[in-house]
Amino acid sequence: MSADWQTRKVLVVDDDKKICDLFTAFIKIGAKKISCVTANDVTQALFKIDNQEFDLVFIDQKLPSKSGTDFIRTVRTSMKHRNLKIILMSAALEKEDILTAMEMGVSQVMVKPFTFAQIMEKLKDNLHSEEDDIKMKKELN
Amino acid sequence: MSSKELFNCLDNLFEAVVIIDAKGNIEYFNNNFVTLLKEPPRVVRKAKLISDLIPKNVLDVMDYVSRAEESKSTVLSEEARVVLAETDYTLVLKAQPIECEGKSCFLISLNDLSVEKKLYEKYKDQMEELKNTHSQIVQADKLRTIGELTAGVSHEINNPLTVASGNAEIIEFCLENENLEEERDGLVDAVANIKDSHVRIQKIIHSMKDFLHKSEDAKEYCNLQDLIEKSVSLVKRGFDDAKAEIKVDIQRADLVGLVNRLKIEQVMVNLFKNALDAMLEAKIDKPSLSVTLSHKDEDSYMILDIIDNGPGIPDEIRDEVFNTFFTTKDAGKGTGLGLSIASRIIQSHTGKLEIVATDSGCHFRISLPIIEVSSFADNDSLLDNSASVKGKKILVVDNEVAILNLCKKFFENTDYLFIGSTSGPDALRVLKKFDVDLVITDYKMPEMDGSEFAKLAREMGKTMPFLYMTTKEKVARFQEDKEKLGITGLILKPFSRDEFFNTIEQTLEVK
Repeated sequence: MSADWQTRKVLVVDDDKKICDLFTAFIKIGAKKISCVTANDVTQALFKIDNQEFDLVFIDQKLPSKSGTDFIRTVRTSMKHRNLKIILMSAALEKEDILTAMEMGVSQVMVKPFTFAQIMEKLKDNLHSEEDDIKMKKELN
Repeated sequence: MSSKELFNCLDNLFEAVVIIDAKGNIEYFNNNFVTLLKEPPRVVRKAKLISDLIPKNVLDVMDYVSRAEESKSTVLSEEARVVLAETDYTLVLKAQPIECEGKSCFLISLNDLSVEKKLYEKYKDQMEELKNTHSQIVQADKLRTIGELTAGVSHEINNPLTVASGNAEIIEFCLENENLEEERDGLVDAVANIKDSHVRIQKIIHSMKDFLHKSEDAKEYCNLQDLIEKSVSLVKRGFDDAKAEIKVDIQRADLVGLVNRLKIEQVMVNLFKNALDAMLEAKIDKPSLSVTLSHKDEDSYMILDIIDNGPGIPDEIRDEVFNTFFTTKDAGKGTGLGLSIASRIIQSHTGKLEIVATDSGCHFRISLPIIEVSSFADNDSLLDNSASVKGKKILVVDNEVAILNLCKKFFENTDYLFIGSTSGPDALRVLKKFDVDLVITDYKMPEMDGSEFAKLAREMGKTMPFLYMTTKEKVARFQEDKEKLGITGLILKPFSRDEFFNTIEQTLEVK
């Protein structure tokens, strides 16, 4: 199982590079073993998921040219990525937006601004296996 | 006409009429006079003098009679509120000298305007109400725009906010390490990120505040490129979301306008948003908006073209789009105020907002006068007749907008008339049309320096005093030009208000 740990991979998609940096820093502090890859738009993100295996994607709703929801729509139509876990991030999510996102098959939604603890919780929720939990707790302490 | 016939006529009149002689003795009254007094006819018949029926302190009829007698013509009273028979009347009295049965008499007619007065007051109330409603709708429209902008802005703010709070957390983690030196780089980065986020948020809030505070700010000199870029940045998010393109082409970067910055921004944002709405509604494949700033030398106008590739405006409604409340949007989506307000704002800048006929898309054109023209327009009195103006006219030439705005502030509430100009060639155009009493020019300017400008002005035969406004380094040039070009004096930058006016007053006195 510990081999699993090494391959845990998270993709963060946000056009704001500072947000990507923040994710990288958080994961470095809170969950060192998880590798964090970043992309700045949907095209980059689609290219990355086609060429690497990811366990979880954080994607911003508002992105230049194609939006986060566009990404989800594309991903859900492909057999390969049908079960990819996706967390949609946005600054101002309305109830309706959340419902549409859920219908499209997003795993969770996350409203900005977020905190370290929230990110860790999301990682734990979505990448969990018992062993991982123990390890992550250790990291946190 | 006999008296009898005349009285018959008068009895049928709508007005109250009474005929008296020069002493006030009643000769005749018509039916409506009785009605007006609300007394039984026999009581009225018993009365001998007009003052018995209409007391002097209520309405001095005899005063009008004597005036009519004196002038031998009809005298009309002002509209007066009179209480007669416990009734409130608004009366107009007419005294007319007439001949009645061989006697010189006066025909007094009393016109009761109470009904008209009431109608007028009702009309006034309704107008007031209408005005209030109108301003409420305008306010609602403003709020709607704010609402739309806020949605975009909250996203903009949340990103840097996340970065700032996240980095604060990172600092906390770094501080937990006992060997702080190891964390040094991380700490430096985090602090830099927080500072950077702070600046980003501040910028967003600033532009938001500017937009909301649509106070009736006076006009100031602004660089139009900045103005356009700022307006574009306010709508950029909306265009990005809709995957629409917005292209800005500035053909001359140094164009300066004397404008109310916020109002012009409001106009641009409105036109941009309208274009976007129209393109989206028509489901245009690749929505694109182009914004071009150019300059027409011969017309002294700068031109801002806003062209979209949307469905355009049908010919039949082209004349209507600037009308208040005209809208093609669904109820609740637009009040139809945008364009009418925009057009009014541009007009208040002595400019023009028009639709240019085009084959495809929609083409709005804003023309604004170059700053010299608008400087004149801003000084209303100058428009009437520059010769009749009491104050001295002072032309200030400086390519720096900030200096022009400073001078404009200085000259506010003074007897001087200030005309601003951003370059030598433009200022020469002003001098060609008008005589001014004093020219103050910056020395170091890109197109034409102070010496060149002064030389050309002197060659035009202009003899008014000239002041150079410059820094210490250029004093040598002043010494050189002093004799040669008749430069009267020097204002050293930086200067205070007192220094500035002292120099001006001295210069004008010597002259």
